[in-house]
Amino acid sequence: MMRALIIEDDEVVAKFIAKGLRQHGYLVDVARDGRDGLFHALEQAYDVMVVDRMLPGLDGLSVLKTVRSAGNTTPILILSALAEVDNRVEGLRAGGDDYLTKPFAFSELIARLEALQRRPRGGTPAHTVYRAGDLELDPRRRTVTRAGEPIRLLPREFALLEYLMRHRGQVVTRTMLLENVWDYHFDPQTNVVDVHVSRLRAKVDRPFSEPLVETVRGVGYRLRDPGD
Amino acid sequence: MKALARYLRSSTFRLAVVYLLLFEGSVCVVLGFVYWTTAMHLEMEADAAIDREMRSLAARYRGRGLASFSRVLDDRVARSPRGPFLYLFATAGRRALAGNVSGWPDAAPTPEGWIEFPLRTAREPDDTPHLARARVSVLPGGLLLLVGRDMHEIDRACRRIRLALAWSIGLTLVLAVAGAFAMSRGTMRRIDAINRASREIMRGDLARRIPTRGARDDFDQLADQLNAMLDRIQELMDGIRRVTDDIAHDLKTPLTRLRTRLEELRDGGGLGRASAASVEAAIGESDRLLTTFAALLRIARVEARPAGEGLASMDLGGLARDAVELYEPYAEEHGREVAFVGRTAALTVIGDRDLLFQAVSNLVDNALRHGEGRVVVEAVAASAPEGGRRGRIVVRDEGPGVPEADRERVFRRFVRLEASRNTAGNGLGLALVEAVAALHGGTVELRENEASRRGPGLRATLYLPVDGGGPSPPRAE
Repeated sequence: MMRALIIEDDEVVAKFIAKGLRQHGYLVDVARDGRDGLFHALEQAYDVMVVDRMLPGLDGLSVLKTVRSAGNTTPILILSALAEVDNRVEGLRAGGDDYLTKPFAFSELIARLEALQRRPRGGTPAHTVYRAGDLELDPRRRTVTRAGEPIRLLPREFALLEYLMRHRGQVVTRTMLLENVWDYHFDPQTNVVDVHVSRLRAKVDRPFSEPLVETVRGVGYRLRDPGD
Repeated sequence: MKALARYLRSSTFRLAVVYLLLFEGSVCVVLGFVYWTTAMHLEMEADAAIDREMRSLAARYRGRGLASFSRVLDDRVARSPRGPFLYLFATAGRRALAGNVSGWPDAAPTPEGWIEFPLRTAREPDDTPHLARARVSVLPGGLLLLVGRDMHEIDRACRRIRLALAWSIGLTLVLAVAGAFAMSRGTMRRIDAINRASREIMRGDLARRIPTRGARDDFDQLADQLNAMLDRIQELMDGIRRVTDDIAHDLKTPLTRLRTRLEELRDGGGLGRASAASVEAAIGESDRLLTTFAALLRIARVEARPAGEGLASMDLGGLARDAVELYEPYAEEHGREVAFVGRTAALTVIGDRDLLFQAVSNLVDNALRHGEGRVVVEAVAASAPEGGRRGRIVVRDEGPGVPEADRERVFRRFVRLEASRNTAGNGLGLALVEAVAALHGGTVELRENEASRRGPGLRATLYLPVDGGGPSPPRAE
């Protein structure tokens, strides 16, 4: 069972996250202020932590820095109402692994938490070829094949597929795609990402019988892994 | 040269010049008076001496008679040939009997018997005839006696005085001009210090204050007032930021909860088809609300951010290319085209990458949503009107454009033009673009697209200072 620590002073938000995580099969501890949270984080082993930035007692960033300086590498997601990039950079620099702005949909939170836990720790493996069913992607040789047939992708399509395959079986949100594939933190006014995904689908899925890129309604996308 | 022109334009210098003119005028009046009284005094002295001499001679004449008087006169002339007095003793027919004036002067005497005439005397060998002033008396027997003085000495004294006075006026003028320069330099230096500090504060260095000299003079008082004002402004800005954060913290959270409850309702099952659709629509509405809210907060945050804070060197061209690449499939799906025009070399500006991307994508988005035809995104370096270079991102379309009267208005929050009422959007896109431009020390401008082959089109230009010419990076704290 996965263990999660939530450090959040807002009772309703804390309860809501805790409830959602429990439904997803997590064992959840909730701390209501920074000091309490730090105590939990240092005393017990968690698989993931969710830390609010603004906390009474000891603020989120200080908690983060202390946890990291203690040699703890547990993935941490920072939760904040501060939307601006300088805050985001500050948060990530303090040792956070991801940054989510309030308001957020729970699906966005859980997608990011799942992605964090799959993140390989201590550097990427030397050479991985990603596989999902009969789809193969070789990041180093920059080739994609499906059922042995080579598929030609534009650089951005390749990056998009690579991200989906790295997180195969997980839900990834549109914001996660924008942040990780395009490397911009911004709000598109239109469904620009969807169009990119449907272009990718046209090349990867359409010629084949079994579709791999799924739409998760109201959340984002998931690359199905038939092998799982 | 420029500095001199600045001096001459400065109000301190002008004030000094006005004062100088007044002062110089007063000096002229005072010295003029001194001169006038001195000259008067000298002339009066001379006249009195002539009178005395005349009286004493007249008395002698009455005592002696003609021949003896002539001898007296000749004696006097002989005794002091270079003496101050001129004598002429003549018959009623003006024939000279004795004296040291060669001939009777032509000039007519005043009723009091005063006469002024050029001296054609052999007394002085120089060329310029001296002016003489004399008094004429008619002695008993109709004989004429003229007693006068060569005014040359007095003239020379007056000339000397005039020269000395002219020199002193000239000297005071020079001293006053030098003083004016020195005075205006002193005040200008202090005003410059205030200007410099204000400029840096406007560039975003909000922690800076105007230096004081500790002299407690009026400039220090002004600086203190300005500094107090700046403290207050900073307080207010911090206040805005705090309020923004508080709103973000306090209102976004319940909105999130609302959305979550709706999600739970949807995912919990047990809803009829109609209810499920309603819940789905409600989630959509809350999403739109949250988006609008987030956009408003973002604008407020960007506006409250000190200009130049958190900016770093970045490639504007690459950013424009990325935006085009991101929107290209979307455009194509809607039967449109987005193209990038510009050089491939890096166009480096000091900026916030994410905010600029948001701004450019808002412009592209507008062009695709409200415009028509081909959308061209251009990133180039251009020369700035105030000199130097600046970066320029142009997004142009071939749609109906924005009427000139509305081109200022559309940057306001929630302003949407009648023509675009039916399209999606919250009326905050351009407001954010303007806030982002201001944060970078740049501007945004809307114009007609002359290159359009269809409608009037819109040409939105975002001007940004290039690396090096822009706001200084924030100081480490």
